[in-house]
Amino acid sequence: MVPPPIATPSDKLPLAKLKLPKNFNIEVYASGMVNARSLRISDKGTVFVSTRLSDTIYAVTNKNGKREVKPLVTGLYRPNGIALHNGTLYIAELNKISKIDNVEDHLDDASKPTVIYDDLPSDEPHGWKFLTVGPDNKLYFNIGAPCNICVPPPTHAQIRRINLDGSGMQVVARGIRQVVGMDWHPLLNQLYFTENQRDWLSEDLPQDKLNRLAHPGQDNFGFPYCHQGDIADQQFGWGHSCDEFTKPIALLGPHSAPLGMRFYTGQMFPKEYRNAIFIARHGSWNKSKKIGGDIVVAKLNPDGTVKSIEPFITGFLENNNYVGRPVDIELMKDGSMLLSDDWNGAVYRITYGPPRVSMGRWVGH
Amino acid sequence: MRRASRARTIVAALLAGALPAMAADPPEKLAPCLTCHGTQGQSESLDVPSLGAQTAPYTVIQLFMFRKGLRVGEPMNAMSKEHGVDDLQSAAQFLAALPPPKPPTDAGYSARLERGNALARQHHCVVCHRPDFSGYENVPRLANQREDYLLKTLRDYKSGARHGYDATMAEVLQPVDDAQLVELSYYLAHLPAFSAEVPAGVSTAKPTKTAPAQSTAAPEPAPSSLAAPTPTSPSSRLSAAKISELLGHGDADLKRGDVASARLFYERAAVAGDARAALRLGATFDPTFLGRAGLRNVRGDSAVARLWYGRALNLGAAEAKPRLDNLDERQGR
Repeated sequence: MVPPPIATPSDKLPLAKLKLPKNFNIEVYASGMVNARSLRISDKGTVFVSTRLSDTIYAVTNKNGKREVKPLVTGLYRPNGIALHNGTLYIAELNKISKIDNVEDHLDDASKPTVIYDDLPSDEPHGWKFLTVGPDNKLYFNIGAPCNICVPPPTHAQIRRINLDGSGMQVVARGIRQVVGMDWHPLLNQLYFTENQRDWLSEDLPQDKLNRLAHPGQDNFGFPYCHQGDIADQQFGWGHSCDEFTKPIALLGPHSAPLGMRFYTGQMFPKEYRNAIFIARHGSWNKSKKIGGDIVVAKLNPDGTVKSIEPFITGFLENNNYVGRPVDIELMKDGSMLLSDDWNGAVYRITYGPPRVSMGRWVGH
Repeated sequence: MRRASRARTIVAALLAGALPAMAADPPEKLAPCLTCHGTQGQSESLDVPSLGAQTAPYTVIQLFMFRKGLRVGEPMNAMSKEHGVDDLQSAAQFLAALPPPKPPTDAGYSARLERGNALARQHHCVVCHRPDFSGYENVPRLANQREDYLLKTLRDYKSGARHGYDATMAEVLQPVDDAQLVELSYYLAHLPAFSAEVPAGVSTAKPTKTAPAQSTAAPEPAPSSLAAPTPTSPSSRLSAAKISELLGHGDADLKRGDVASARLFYERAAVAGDARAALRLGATFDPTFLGRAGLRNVRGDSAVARLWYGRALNLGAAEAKPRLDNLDERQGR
């Protein structure tokens, strides 16, 4: 079930079907962006939206409350990964990483991005990338396994980091099938990431994972030998023990496809959400009874382990059909949260506060 | 006499139901497309896909990709340039309402069909494309697509020459080798017409116990260029006497419990277009039949049984219908 190539008009978006905890509100932030995927927000409040199945990066400007969606760059190939740092937009396509300096000054006349790193394979399976900048001012991105299940070449199934100019590549984690979401613990400064596990083993196994990179350069998360920390692969597991590998810190459901994840560091939501991780589960594609299509929140212990996982936004899955599919989460300066939906080509904003005077949602605001 | 009355029944059925859909004019901008893809959903051109009954969301995605240059192929890139979203959607809906492409006139070799059937299940094709390969939502219909186009498409996905809208096909074909792509294409092109695709008037018109000898009935359609030429392409014409002889040998073998030999005789007659042979061949794979006949040491295969029953039904043997239903019930579909 892939997202359609036509965005849903804003008045047809499924907001009324979504369920949030008490006193949380959801509204349309921007729409009309086919296959809206990764979200990044600049200091000036411009929201950058990537795509995976289209060729475009969008910019959503916000001037005095008036929002405008414009294509920033087109002609890209699977430009899923984007990151912002010191005014530069970094773009990860299938097999190259490029940048646009001072992007805020070029929202209407952005030139072709300048390539900074292209020592990358071109495999289609799990070839799309998630891109982020770490507290060490380096770019982090994934190279997925070129298959559902196989012994990957040494260049694959890993997370790499490079300097902002593309130099100094290091592999920081291995044995990872595919990552489509990473973020740093705001206090421990450790990299957390979601991982999508293999298909066709069974409908209920293995579960997708939430991982933590405690030992950069050393941790191996088990692919293709061990799944979900305790299941040896039926084909490749022989001769290995799951104890050889770094275990997940939480299991996120079989084939639920957890993608974007974000530590909540804002002030708007109640205190119980401080430093918790919001995780967008895109939802399963091949499972008979679909699972996911929601936002869950992982609350953590002081040592960074997971205390609980609870539903936060549900309702994207209705009668075993998707009415939307959540992808990435970003925080605005005021502590409200943005959420992308690649099924409808839209971005939503989630706020906390007692109900407004009218029950109407802020559609078109 | 009888044939004439049956023909009248079919004409009446067409007038009552099917004609309005068939008579609908294509959207104006679609007319040039149909010169290659076929006005009735069936392409007669090498490497050009049949689009009849294709799932509309899939067609919209492909047109979107051609328009954006994400899928490369002329003349499609140039032809899709000028079209807006509404054009893409109306084209897709029109094509989805055209009749599905017809199965080839030869039923295909059962050994190859069995290999293709096994591969399609081993690699989970049926999960998304559906057990009858009619497709679903954005997942395309594959049943009776042109064999040359299927093979080219699979090879292009495998090599990366064709980028999918997403990476699913590249991923699932990763462990499939070229010889298997050839078998899959052959199997998908030769799928028998399923009961749902038989016009309602036909199956109810012939509730007879003895199927007519097809070889002496209406003339076979002229061999079309549809089936990619294979050096082993069987003849679809055998004399009535030869068919009877094959059936006799098959029956004798089956009575002795020699199912493997019986299948060979039945297959020859079934491939030549004989409904009774297709029905009996289906039975030799039908777990219910094998159980009742006490042939418990013979391995059944519901999927293969379904193939041949479907073929028998298509050739006019109405008895195949309850057997197909029985297979469906067993599988809990």
